[in-house]
Amino acid sequence: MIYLSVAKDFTKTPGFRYETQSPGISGELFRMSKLLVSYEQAVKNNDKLEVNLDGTAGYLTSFLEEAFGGLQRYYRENGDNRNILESITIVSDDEPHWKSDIERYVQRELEKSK
Amino acid sequence: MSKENLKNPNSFNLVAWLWGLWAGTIVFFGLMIVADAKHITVSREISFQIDPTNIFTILITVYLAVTVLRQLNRRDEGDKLERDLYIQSLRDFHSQLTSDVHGLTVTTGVAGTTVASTIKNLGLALQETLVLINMSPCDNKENITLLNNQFSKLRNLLTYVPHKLDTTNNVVIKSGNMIYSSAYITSISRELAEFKKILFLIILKINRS
Repeated sequence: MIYLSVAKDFTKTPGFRYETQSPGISGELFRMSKLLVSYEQAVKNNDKLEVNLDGTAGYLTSFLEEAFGGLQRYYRENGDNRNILESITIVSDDEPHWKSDIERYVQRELEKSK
Repeated sequence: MSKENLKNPNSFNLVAWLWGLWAGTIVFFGLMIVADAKHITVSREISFQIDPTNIFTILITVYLAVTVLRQLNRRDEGDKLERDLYIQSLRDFHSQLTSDVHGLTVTTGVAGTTVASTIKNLGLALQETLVLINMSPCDNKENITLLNNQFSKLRNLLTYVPHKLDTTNNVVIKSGNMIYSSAYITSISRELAEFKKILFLIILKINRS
C-alpha cells in the first residue's frame, strides 16, 4: 500500500481549486504534484494508494473536486476510461462525508465518458 | 437533585424511606406514652376514643403518600432537566451556526482557508450535538437525517469555488478571499433558514416528549 496524507505530504491548509487562486496549496497542484505521481506509482506496482484527508484545517469542495474529479478528467480527456477509485482508498475520519463526495465527483466524470 | 435520580429517575430512595419508617415508629410509641390509656378527652361535651394503632396507620399512610409524591416530583424534575439539556445543546449549535455563517457572508469576503476551517468545525460540532440528541427519549432519526442532508447543502454552497467555465460570478476569488454575490447570499440564507426549521422541529419534539 502506498500512503499519501494531505496534511503531512502537502499542506495543513488546503486552498482553492486553481494555482492562480491559491499558489502552493491548490487542488490543482495537489493533483499534479502528489496525487497523480502516487497514483501512477501504485498502478505501476499493481498496488493501492491510500489517501488520508485527516489532520487539515478543512477543505473547500472545489479543492477535492479538482484533485480527484480532475484526476479522473485527466484520464478521460486522454481517452482512458479507467475508474481511478479502483486503486485509491480514501480515509477521512474527521469528515466521513468527503469519501462519498469524492466518489460522486469521480462518478460524474466517468458518466461523461459513456 | 441527586445523580442517582438523574441516571435512573424511577429509582426509589430506600434510605429516605427507612428514615421515615423509623420516625413513624418513634411517633407511634410517643403517642402510646402520651395517650397512656385509650381515651383522650377533647372537651367536656365531646369525648371519644382515639386508638393509637389507627394514629400510627394514618401517620404511615400519610408518610408513604408524601414519599411517593416526592419521588414522582423528583422524576419529573429529572426528566425536565434532561429535556432542557438537550434543547440547550441544540440552541448552542444554532447560535454557533448563525454567527459563523453570517461571518462567512460579509461583503468584503473571507479567506478560503477560513471558510474551509469554519465549515469543518461546524460539521464536527453538529455531529457532537447529534450524538447527544440520539440519546434523547424521543425518536428523531428522520429529522437527524434531514438535518445532515441540509447541512451538506449548506456546506456545498459555502465551499464551492467555480470552474473556469463557470461565468455566473456567484463566487469570486479576490486576493485569496471568497466573495459571494448578493443572489448567492440569498441562496445561502434560504438553505440556512431551512436548516433552522428542522432544528426547531427537533427542539419542539424533545420539549413535548
